[in-house]
Amino acid sequence: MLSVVVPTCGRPASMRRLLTALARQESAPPFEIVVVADGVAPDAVGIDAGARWPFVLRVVHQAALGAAAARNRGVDEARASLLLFLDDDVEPSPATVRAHVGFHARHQGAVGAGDLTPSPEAGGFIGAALAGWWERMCDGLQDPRHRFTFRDLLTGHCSMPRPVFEQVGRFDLSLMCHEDFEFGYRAIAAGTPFGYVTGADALHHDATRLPGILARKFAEGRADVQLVARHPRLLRELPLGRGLAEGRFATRAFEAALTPGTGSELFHRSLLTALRVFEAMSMRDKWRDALERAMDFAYWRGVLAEAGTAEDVRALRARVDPPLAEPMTVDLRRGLAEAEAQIDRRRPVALRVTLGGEDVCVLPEQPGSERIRGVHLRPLLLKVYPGALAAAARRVGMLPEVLCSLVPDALGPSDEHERGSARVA
Amino acid sequence: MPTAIRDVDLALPPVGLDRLDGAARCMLVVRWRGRVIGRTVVPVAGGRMSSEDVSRHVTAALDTDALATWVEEAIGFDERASPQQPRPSATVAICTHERPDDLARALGAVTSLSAPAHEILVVDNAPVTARTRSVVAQFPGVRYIVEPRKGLNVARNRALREATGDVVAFTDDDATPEPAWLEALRANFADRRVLCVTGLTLPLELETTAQELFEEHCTFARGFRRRVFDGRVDNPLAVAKVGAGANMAVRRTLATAVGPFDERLDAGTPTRSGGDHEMFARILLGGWRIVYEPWAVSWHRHRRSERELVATVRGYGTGVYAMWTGLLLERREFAVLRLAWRWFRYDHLPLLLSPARLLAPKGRDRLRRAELAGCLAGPAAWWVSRRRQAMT
Repeated sequence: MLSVVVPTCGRPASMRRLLTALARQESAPPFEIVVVADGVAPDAVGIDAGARWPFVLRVVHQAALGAAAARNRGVDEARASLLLFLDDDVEPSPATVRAHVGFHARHQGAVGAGDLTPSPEAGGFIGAALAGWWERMCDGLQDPRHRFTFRDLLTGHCSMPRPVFEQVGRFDLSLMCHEDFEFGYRAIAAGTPFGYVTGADALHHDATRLPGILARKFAEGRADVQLVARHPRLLRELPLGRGLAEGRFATRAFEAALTPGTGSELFHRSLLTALRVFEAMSMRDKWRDALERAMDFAYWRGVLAEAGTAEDVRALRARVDPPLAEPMTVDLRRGLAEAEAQIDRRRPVALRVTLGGEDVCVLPEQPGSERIRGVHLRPLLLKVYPGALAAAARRVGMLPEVLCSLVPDALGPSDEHERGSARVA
Repeated sequence: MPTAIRDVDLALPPVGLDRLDGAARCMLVVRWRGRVIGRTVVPVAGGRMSSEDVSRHVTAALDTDALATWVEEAIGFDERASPQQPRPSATVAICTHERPDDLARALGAVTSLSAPAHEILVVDNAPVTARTRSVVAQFPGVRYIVEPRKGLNVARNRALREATGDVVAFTDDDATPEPAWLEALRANFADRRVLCVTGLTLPLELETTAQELFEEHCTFARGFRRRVFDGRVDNPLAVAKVGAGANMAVRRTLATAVGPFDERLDAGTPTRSGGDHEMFARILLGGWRIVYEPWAVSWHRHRRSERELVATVRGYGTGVYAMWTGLLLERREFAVLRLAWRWFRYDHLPLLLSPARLLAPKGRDRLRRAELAGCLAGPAAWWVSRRRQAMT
């Protein structure tokens, strides 16, 4: 049996759409639904008391404690050994429940990531931007060669056996945002396998508008400071610990956010005005830039609110990282299949690739990413280090002579490294 | 003098080229194990070229994109889809209007694909003779459909309605796809956000000055590296680099996702072209993706006479401006004004400022002049086409 856990903060129309979709599940085993109303009046949940459903439906009320507490409470109330988390703005396809059950029958003890196809309710540029973000979040999940990270656990649509949920340690109640990332980090650190649940398609009816997006970014800024306090190794995996985007406006957004005052507020309002003007003139590139900077501003304001002072933020960003793990070395001379088999036997967290003893690349340890599997090797070589591989092949005489002149003389194994690390991240 | 066209595969031992008599130049199409990775046009003297000369020219013409092809092949990795992901079934559709000789060649190519199509359709658009029907009758299994309403986009929409494959691959009646063409297109639909895939189109022949000018002035080729155009990231209105309708595949559900091809645009209407680019823009504006796949190679026979060439180039100008007019007036896409200004500023204004170029009787400047005339006619053509369609 399976329990669907749905936290809600009062979106009755969305809840009715979700329940209708769950009532249309095809060839699904019996399942129950636990709705946790988080600070919502009974008449605002969106469930008609007289309605009849082809599943057991229970509604639990609690004070407004946040999504993490609501999901934990839902699990406490759930009776099944398999948990499916859905947000109330998700509309699963008729095959969703069956797909999750089948996935867990094949992958014992795994976390299953479901699909979230964006269907934003906002129109215009903001709707397109929202859809783009969600698509990037879910990009590549369905590819069996995908390397999962803590960001791939999206509680809007995922499933796991109850023992996994308990062993990983439930959702952190102190986080009001990014509690799914935090849970994902612990799950990956515990060695829990992740997988994409083929066939579990779902639409995500995101109703967020610009003010909601900026509020969310503020919350993410706060949450990231808390995340790093719990898991210091995550610093460089979050915007908090990474370099600023290129361009003077990115630096200005950062500085303005950390120095509240009239100038800072003026900068923020200018960005919001620019967004309206650029959209009216259908200047997409400028609009995207302005939106990025407005979100940067909101994010760093959230960071500042949680960290305390601007000096604290700078100190946090400048913190010295703990040493990373030594990479395992694989040589490609004996073939990629052999190299992949070696990786699968060892499952390293960091990898050095050589060809005939010549360095090709180093994939450093990436906290929050699953241990490296053999299937990760070829995408890494093609998408991130093709030049380094060709250069190494030239050095050991494996590159066809006619192509040798195409390898830039200066290109060595380290040149693509900076770009490579960023692209992998 | 004509330009010869020859293949050079770098994975094979180097060879010289002969039987180039009568050619002043040779277009070397460079391949790696059959896949096109570059091309270059080089002078020919004495009707032959030594293997050393071929190697020298080819090496000078390649760039690092060729390395990526070698890496991809060397490590046996296909970024398009994992081997487990199924390929969609594909209908091949040829929209034609009274070009039976070209059509016969195109049908010969699409019935000899390395992986056969799910079905092949020929949409005979507003036929005035029975010649097209006769040609199709020579190819068993090819479905013949008459679309009486004139217009290339009308025919494309008819093909979408008639097709039963998951994707519909369009090729022009004057194009000749290579055997691996359809497989290369299909492989890119594993990403469900991909609504359209375009391919690499090269000239079938460069026998006349008009064909050489066409290839030089408005080639269909868009490079030798696969690219993904994402409406969420890239400028959805800058679609010239995406590809061309002569070599494209779309999901059959295209009309549901973003609407059918705009029947006020393209050949057979006053706008004369632009129907494919308008669809590319609409796909990207809808947030979908288009892939440019250079492994999907097709050879296009360009117009042979200068008169046809000038008319074609003028038609391209008309089509682009007609498309932009529609986007501006109906979708309020003010960004097309910036595109129009940039095109005018860098291509047409220098022409207007130079009387010698403006009055040039031949060559590139004459084409630019025809293009500019077409651009100026574009808005009115869109208006007339719109009225005509409203009346029907």
